[in-house]
Amino acid sequence: MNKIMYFLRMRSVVLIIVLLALIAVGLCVKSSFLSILITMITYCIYALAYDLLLGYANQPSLGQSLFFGLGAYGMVLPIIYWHFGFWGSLGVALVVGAAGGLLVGFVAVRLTEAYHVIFTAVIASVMLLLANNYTPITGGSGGLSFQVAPFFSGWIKLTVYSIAANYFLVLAFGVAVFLLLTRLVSSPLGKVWVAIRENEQRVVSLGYNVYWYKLAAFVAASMLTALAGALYVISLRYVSADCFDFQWSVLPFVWVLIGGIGTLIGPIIGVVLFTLFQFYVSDWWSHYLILFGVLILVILRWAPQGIMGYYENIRTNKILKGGGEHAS
Amino acid sequence: MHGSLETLYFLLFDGFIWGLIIALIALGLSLIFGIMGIINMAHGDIFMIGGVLTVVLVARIGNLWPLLIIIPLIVGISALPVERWILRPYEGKPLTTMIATIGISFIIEEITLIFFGGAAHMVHEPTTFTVHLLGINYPGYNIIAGLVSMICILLLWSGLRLTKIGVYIRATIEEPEMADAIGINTGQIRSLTFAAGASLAAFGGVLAAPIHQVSYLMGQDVILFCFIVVIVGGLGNLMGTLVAAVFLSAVQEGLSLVFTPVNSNVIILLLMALILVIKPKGMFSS
Amino acid sequence: MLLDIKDIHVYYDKSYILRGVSLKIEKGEIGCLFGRNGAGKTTTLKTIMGLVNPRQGEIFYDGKDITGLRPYQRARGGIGFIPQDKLLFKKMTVYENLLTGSKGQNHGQTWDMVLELFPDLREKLSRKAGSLSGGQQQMLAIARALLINPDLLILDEPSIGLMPIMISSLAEVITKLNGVGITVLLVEEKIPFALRLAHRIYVMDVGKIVYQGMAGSIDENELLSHYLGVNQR
Ligand SMILES: Nc1ncnc2c1ncn2[C@@H]1O[C@H](COP(=O)(O)OP(=O)(O)OP(=O)(O)O)[C@@H](O)[C@H]1O
Ligand SMILES: [Mg+2]
Repeated sequence: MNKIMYFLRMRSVVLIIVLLALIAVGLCVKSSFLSILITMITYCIYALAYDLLLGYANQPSLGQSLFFGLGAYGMVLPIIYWHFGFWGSLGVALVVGAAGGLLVGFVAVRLTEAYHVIFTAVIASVMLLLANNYTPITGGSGGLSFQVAPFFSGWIKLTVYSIAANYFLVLAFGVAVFLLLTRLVSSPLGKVWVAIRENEQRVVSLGYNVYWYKLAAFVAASMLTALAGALYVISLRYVSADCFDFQWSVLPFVWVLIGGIGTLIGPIIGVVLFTLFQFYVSDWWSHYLILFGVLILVILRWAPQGIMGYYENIRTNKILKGGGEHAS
Repeated sequence: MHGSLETLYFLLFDGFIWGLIIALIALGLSLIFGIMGIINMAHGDIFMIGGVLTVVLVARIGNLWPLLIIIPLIVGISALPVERWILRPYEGKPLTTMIATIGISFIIEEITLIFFGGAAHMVHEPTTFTVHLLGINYPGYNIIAGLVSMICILLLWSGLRLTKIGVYIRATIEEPEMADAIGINTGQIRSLTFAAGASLAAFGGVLAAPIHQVSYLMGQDVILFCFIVVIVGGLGNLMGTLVAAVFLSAVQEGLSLVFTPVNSNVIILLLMALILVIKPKGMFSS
Repeated sequence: MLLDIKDIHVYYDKSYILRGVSLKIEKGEIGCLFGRNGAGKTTTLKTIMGLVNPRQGEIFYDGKDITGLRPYQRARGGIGFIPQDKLLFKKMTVYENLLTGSKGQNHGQTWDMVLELFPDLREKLSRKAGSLSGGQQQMLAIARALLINPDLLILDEPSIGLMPIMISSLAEVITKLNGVGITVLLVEEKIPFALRLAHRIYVMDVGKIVYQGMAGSIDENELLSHYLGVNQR
């Protein structure tokens, strides 16, 4: 047990160091690197939301681009049409994301895995068609650009046109989501999700209404995905129908897969590695989708548990040996 | 509006013919799921390869008809190693197979883009006659395409009913473990089914080339519609898939009289959602 | 020695189910395996068929190590299996079910012999297997297994849910098959029925063989009170 406590403490120390480093980077480093970090942190929120859904509540959605796009447009349209401020439109984006999650989840949550995957993918694809079609509202694939008025957060007046301010804004949301999820997965609600993942029948027979628990996870993930979408377009000051693209449904899976499903650190590792890959390789070769495809197949074959999976295996082996316990 | 009834008939008929071609693709999708538990996201791209190869080869040999045999054969044989060496370990895991086949789909589309380019092509109809039907001159090729699809579906159906391999395939769909335990080489059956499913999609691609624009992205709309079809018809339920393909395609065409194509897609989608609310395993599940 | 299982250990995920099972059946014998619910009888049979793989131990069939073979290879090698559940392809006809069992020919000698053994089935060839009565389904499963010309027939609780009259005709069939040289491994709950047939008896509990002996070495009461009774443990 001591060893486990030791590792837990180690983990918080590492996290605090990482956070301090990120703050220091924001204060010292110049723009181009910061914008990669902004992207990464936004993706981390997205990846964590997906991990909550797949890794904890065991729902293999392949239509997350729907909520990402809803968050993006939920953020932008109020700004453009009704001149909402930052917080107002962020509120709209979250509500729209959650409402979308509720509607889709209402049908999707009771489906078996195969139907669930296809259903969510189909819904998201049709949404892409719609967004591409209703160009007067969405701007289609040409997109819309917009201005974000400076806004107050606490006492400080922020403008996203300063890259450092943009960075700290996104970082704050990233940290908040991480902490929220850390609490959530160890809460009673999170325990039920894990129990559902491990053995759904058992949870049903214990008298839980599994449907509501799963729906709750679905809605929570949709809302956080919408948050990621909103932050993404705010940092770009540009939105287009491509936010609904199918790739946005595949990416979260790939992030979580690389890092390791069902852990909170795994998705972050996955995002960092994959974003670097994407950034450099897509720069170097315009047909990088081929490599993306190959990468998916390679990861599935040789590292299906992700990097955290390997780490956990090594770690549990060490703890078991160190503690002198026997595997039974 | 004068003649709108004729237009409706025409559209319904057109939808029916297109539905038969869609059925070929969707049946392959459904069969592959039924036997192997693979949700094949690259299925639309196999259809696309059928179309692209048709464009390329028609320019060479100047005739469409022999391609109906050659191309499905090539595609079916190339599908074998993909199933055996890439997909086999994930069979029975819907999400994983879906992700793996998405990877394959990216690779196929990008490679086609490199060699075939991004522009859309069209193959000339091999026949020029028209049929006077319900007050409209209907292109003869479409009717031939519909008939050929129908024959193909009938052959598939009788193959599954009347041949020994067909019995093995159905046994493997129903109880894979049991089938193995009584002496059926289910690994072989899987490979065969995957190849057959891919051939069906490629066959659909050849048939559709003179009707549908051929480009490296042509699989994407089709796969979307096919997924709606197999969900409504029931995954692995071949009869349901066939009925849903023809029915939904006709409905979609009919709707296009009043709505834009995208809006009729949305209506079809809502229909699908409604069916899933009532019957979570497809329209024809018990 | 037709079947020789050497110390197999089987896990379902992390749960340790078979904890070193060894079991032998001589050519021409009827072996019976008893045990409480959940003792691991079905798991043992599935391991013989290759539907479950042991983490440790070997299975020899007719002197050859078959531990690494796929189920269909074992079936074609002469092991006929009649499982406990999912007995038949219920959506397919009786004829098609039989066809899945016969490797090549749907006429031949075996085909005729089997239909002679189960005359009931001959009239129902075009019926859906799922529409047959429990007894007929059991017979169909046996018939299908016979079509691969097995040397060893493995039956997992074939008497379950059958009426007494069907049970005695089942016993008759098993005796008849054994008479023509087919070795039988039978898992049973109905002890008197099985004891009448058995040449060799095994009892297992919690994944281990706890008793073995020849017919007559133990009687029903002893078996019940020592190994299978609810008052025990
Ligand atoms: N697929 C499985 N996954 C996990 N555990 C299983 C599985 N199948 C069986 N078990 C467990 O393995 C143990 C042995 O099961 P098995 O079916 O072999 O028993 P059995 O002796 O045939 O019992 P019965 O008389 O009920 O048929 C039981 O505790 C059962 O719960
Ligand atoms: Mg049993």
